[in-house]
Amino acid sequence: MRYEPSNQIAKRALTVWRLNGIFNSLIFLLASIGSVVLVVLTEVPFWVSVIAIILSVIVSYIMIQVVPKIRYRVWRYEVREYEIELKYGLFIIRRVLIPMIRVQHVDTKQGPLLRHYDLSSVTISTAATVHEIPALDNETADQVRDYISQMARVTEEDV
Amino acid sequence: MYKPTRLHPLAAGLSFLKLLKEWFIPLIIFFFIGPGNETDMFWVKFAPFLFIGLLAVYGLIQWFRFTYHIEGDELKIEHGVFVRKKRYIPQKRIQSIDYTQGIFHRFFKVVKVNIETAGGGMGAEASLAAIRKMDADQLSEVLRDNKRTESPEESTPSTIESPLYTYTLSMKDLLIAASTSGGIGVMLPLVGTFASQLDSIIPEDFYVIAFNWLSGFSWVIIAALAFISVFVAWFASFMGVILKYANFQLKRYDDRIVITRGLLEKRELTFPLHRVQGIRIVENVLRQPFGYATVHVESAGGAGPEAGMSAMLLPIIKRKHLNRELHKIMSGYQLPDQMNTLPRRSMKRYILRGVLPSVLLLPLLWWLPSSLWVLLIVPIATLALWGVLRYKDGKWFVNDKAFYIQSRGLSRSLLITEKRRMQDFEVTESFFQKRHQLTSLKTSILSAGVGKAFRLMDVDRDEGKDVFNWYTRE
Repeated sequence: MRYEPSNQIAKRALTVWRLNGIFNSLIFLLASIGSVVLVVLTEVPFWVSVIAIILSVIVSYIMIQVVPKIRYRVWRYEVREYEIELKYGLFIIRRVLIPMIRVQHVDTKQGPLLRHYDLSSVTISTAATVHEIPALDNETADQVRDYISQMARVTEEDV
Repeated sequence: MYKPTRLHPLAAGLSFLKLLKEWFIPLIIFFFIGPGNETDMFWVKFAPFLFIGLLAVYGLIQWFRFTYHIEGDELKIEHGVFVRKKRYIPQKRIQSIDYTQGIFHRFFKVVKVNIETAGGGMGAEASLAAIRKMDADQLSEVLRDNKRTESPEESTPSTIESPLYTYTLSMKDLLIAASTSGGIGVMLPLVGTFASQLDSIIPEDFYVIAFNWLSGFSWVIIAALAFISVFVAWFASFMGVILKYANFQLKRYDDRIVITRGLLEKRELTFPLHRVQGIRIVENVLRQPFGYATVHVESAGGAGPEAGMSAMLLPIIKRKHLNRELHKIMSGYQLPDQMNTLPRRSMKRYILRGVLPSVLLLPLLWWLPSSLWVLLIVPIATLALWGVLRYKDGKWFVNDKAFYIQSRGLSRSLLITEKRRMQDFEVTESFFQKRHQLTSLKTSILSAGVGKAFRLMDVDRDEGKDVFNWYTRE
């Protein structure tokens, strides 16, 4: 722990996460619309829908603006000679150490959304756990992947 | 062994029994509910028997079609009635070979051989349902020999190896283990389920009668009934342990541990020592006060029929004898004299975490008359005490080679694992922990092909950092 991991993930990750946030907040939008419909059609007092709308605006704002920002600001990774260190989280900040000799395989993945923004995520699997670095540049992701798999191959230990 | 060989004919019978088990429910339905008595069509009445006959023939064909043999450095198994399946297992991939014996096996002096390969989980595995003990020994001898040649050291001509150490469970210990197994928690619901199954048999007005009859009695009877059902559950779990762990014997060889156990069904498990990932010392609520613990072993490779869980290394042992026995069985693993405790300021958080669920009881305040609010104090106080206990039992320790982490859910459980066996290490810090300068530790090890995580909440932050630094390889 002499030094913290220093590499940030791609800035465009923010855009991707925001889009995800927008998708996820659609359900609150629907709920607000539903509450308005209820107020119009039934005896439900109108303040119910006011509260619903206010709440969903707040939650959506948090999901679209605040959460991605914090997650992006916290995310750090570092690939060293003998280990990989990750640091990430929202309310709970995690710092993970993965020794190279424990890495079984590394993959890069991209869903349609990531592909559109030329991003990939890197998945690091040990025999017991799976860790992911989300949203790196395609180029960086490939470099990270190749470097890790090369370093992991150097040392073979019995599990 | 080097030519395709069939299993012992008992395997055909076992296949048939297995098929019967699978078709049991439909058959029962067919027998009792199926055709009404109105039908006088002879073959409809006869159909179930015909079907059972078919199953028997099918079992026989299964046995006839199943062959195994060793060719080159592969174990080849071919089987299948309609679809021919071939499974070739390279000997190098074989992690463990173990035997089990059911009641029928004993009668015919045969064993069932389970062959586990690396990769656990959903990895390839094979089992030979019934072969003569002699053949099984020969087979595993050959398969093991091949493994030996991998290692640089000379493979000695195979003589009968004698164990370096043998541990046998005494009758007294077995009885203690059985009576304190805590399986009662599992059995009570079972007893409940069984009782509710009786529902369909008991006529409905019986309940009305029974209720009137019962309400005539006092609480004493109801308490007695409760006691009886608890006793039945306890007895069931008691018998379960006896069946499972009678004749328990652990043999430590140079490179592996072999455990045999079981009263009706004899089980044999083999752990290659180099696959052991750690041990867990568990003290359940019934055993801890008497100074007893159990030791589980976490193994990466298939460990036979218990591959899905961590197997019992020592079913019951006095805590004070632990180090002595462990030294003979797995010399690397020892209880440390002292472990690091959690800082005082974490106690509050442990208590709070314990009490928090009781918020769910708050609506009761509305229902209960205020004079009965006192009743709520009991569960809340219990939970708070539990929190204190969990705080006191949260401990950790590191030395140059090993990591020790102890925590309590219901039972107290201590994991001892080597640094090189830890798959990763994590320190986590929540927003609230940050304010108190606390952190949580988490590590994962490989157990029976899947990851198993061990956590300890609310360690002093600087100490957590020390462990992090201890784990780092830079």
